[in-house]
Amino acid sequence: MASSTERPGTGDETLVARARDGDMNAFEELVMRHADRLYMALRRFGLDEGEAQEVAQETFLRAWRSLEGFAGRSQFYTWLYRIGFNEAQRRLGRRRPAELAVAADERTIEAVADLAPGPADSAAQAELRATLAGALRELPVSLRAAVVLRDVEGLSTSEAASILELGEAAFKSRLHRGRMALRDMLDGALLGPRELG
Amino acid sequence: MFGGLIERVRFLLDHRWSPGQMSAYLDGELSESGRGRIERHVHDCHRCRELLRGLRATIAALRGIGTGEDANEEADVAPRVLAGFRERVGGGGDDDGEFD
Repeated sequence: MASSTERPGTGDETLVARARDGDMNAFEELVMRHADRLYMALRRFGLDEGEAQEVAQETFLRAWRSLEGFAGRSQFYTWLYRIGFNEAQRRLGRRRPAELAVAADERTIEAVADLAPGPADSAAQAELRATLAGALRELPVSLRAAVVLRDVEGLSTSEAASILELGEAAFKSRLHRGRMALRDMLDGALLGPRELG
Repeated sequence: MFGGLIERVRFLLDHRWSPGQMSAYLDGELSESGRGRIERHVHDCHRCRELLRGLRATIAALRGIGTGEDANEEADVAPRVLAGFRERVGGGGDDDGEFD
């Protein structure tokens, strides 16, 4: 999992403790440290630019207001993801199917998929990214959340399950269903020539 | 004769069991016996071999989105998120903009 932000565990706990004591500067440092990563996760989940920024802001606002309730049993950023993904799922769940199929901002996942490494100008890569983007968008929100958190964001099974407030078995089931659905949609685009049986 | 029948039944049981375990297999979450069971089956079953190959490629493609040193660099929204946060929270904190 790549991140331009500082890794958790290098002072988040200290900053959280200071913020709990009312130190706004400490909390603002946490915002600067985690906002880009949270925003990108929300974009990958399917929010457009404006929505993702709005939800990220809302997430930090809620986190600030309920900092006392953060027990510190999980990493600070997984707590943020839980707040953010709850809100994002609520928003995506409100959308009618037609709106989901054609998001307000067509570039939502495509723009994110463009960040994939590889030869930027390769037509095959571009086609694959577009196909992947389309397939992700077609997934039901609950399955997409599992796939984005585990496979795109690279969180562990226990972290991702905790963010979605699921038991690990239920999470793994959703993840597998999501992956298999994507695999069916991407068949051919990803596999190349079939192996002869 | 019975040996062939037993092999056939085992194949069919493994054929039903394997697809549901493929994510766990690729995530390294299966026991050693479970791993062996899948590996033996995909060796013998073309359809499940293709299924596993497709699932592996799908996961690799998804991971490609979130990896790479510049995966989050293009976002660069943190200052805007912070500005919005400050506005909504009531303008608390210093405004020196110094963050490491």
